[in-house]
Amino acid sequence: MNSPILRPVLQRAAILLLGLLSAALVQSAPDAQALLAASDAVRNPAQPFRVTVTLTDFDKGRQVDASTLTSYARTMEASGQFATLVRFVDPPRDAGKLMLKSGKDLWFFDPATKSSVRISPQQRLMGEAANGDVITVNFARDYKATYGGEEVVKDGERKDRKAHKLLLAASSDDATYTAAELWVDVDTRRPIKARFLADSGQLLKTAYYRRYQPQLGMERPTETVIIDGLNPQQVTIVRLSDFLARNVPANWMQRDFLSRFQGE
Amino acid sequence: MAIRRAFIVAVLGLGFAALSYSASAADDDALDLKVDEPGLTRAPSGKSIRIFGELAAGRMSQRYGLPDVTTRRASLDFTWDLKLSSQWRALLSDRLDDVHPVDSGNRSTLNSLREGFVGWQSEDARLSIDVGRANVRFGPAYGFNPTDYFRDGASRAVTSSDPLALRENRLGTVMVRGQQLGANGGLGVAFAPKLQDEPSQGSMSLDLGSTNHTDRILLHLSTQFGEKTSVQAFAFNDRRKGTQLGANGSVLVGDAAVGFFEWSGGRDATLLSEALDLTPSIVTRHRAVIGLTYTTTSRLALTAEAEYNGFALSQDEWRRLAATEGQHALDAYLYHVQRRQDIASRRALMLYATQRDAILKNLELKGMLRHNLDDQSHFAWVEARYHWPRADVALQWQGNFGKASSEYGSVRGQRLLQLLVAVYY
Repeated sequence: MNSPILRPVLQRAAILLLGLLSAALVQSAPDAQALLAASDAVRNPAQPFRVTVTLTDFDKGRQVDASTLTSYARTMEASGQFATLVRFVDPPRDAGKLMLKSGKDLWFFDPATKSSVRISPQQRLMGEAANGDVITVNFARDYKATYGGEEVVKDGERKDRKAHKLLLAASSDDATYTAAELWVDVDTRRPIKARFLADSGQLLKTAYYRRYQPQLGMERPTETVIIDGLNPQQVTIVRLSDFLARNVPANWMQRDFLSRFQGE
Repeated sequence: MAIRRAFIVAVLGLGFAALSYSASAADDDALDLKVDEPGLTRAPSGKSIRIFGELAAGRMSQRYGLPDVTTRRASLDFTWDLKLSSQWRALLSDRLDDVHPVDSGNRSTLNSLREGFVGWQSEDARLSIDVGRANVRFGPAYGFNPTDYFRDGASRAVTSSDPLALRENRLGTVMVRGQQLGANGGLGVAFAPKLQDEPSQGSMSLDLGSTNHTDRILLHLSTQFGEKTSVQAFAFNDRRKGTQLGANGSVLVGDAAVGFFEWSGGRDATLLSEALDLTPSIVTRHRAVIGLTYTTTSRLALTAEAEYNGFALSQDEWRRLAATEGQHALDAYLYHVQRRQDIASRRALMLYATQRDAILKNLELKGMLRHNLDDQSHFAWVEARYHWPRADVALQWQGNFGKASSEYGSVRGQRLLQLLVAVYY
């Protein structure tokens, strides 16, 4: 085996074998970006739609706050951007206020002051709909996914699920988080769980997508449990209801329209 | 050495295991939480009526040897936004304020019919027309808006020092306005005819003399440059005074800051000539604001603004007025500036801060500082406000500081401490 003639042959064979093995592995690894797009399609209907969003905040297990919003969403043809117009419904103090989000183009409109104010992504995160981004966001557009292997994870109902783990890195300026991990069901491509991370790797939020129900043509998650990464005692349950496919004109998704919006 | 390393690895391993267990336990706890269905959350009702009431009581100290006074206010605020059909709407907005004590010439009870208009828009929302009294507001700045051309005379009842709250109380202008939206902005026109000569302090007056005292027309154009920059341009004509051109813009800087500017230049009356009912002195000058809002990860939003008003008194003119006409003239000037929602000095600074969930969940702290750069006087206002689902309780404090002959040092009210309760329906 130590023959000087055989050694290079064996080395080459080993390299060839390794190459073949890696090629096989690469071939068998699912397309992470396609999985991400598929899981986006489970969360977000392709057609323009309206949905009622109820956010309930808990602190140390006690319900401390709640708000209800109506969200109108569509994809903008020109930019491919997923745009949402959110109307605050409850509590009464905030009723009628609007928030428009199209990438980093963010506007807040208060019908009492008649003013449309540009806000920063950071400012939005401190507002009432801070957790809305985890729900109606198009990850495939803003993140580059790499495949992290197959794992068994607990889903939102605490059942074990076989899942593809996707490692997401922000690839556009519009991404809210630097990085994220997303677990997608191997069989159904449904998102099960996500962890959103800061630059430092610090966990910012964990989200469980659950209560799948038939909505607008397929089973979609109607509840998301969001756990604060810094203080896990702070939890928000986001419930989606009253999905409705409806015409959402592209003209709604701009600042100049906000003062004219009435909702339904 | 090896044993020590093994021990450290074991301890670290146990630590990670404990952390992992604790994270998993926290997740399990969170997944067990149940939403209190009939509790705090309500389904959207499609409600188009918003009503809220406010009661405020406070104690104000005064200058010039005047005694402390008790202040009180009751307000009822009503807005009905009615969708008549998919393309037609009607909006009615009214506010009733009962304020004590009152400034000279003001009635204690003032009703403000803020808005009352009928509007139509095309199915695709591109074209719209409104007719009636409408509140048309422009400008991204917080404390002073040179491009908010219909602000003149719109503050009928001054019930707060918070510039954002002041905007809620202002009167709309009777006008015909139309707007055409494009893919990236819009073009609009608003024509407001003269309907009355003089403002009215009658309790139930429509006060058309405050908002429609001359023929005015405004053309405005909005556009966006990408997702982060937006600009508006204006041409405004006041039949008595002439034409002003203006522009404003806002830009996202990084993920946490928004920068903004406003500029308006052209023909307008000097504030003093209007305040003292002299023949209006029409001059060509400028107003401008530049500012930035920065939001921290701890939910603190800070806004800083530098403001310029070429139509205000210069420091020399202020001194001459104080020396020749006395306090009465200064009071009249400052009252007029407040009604026009202008600033009284050529140069000023404003800082505005809000902190949400300060110490307690649902406790909001706000603070504002207005600083006159010409005479170094300033005004400070702070508020602590706790929110319940349908009510707020707020404690407000404000103070005027400066030398006796300065803008804020000459104001009669010196300090005010006030408790406020607001109920929303």
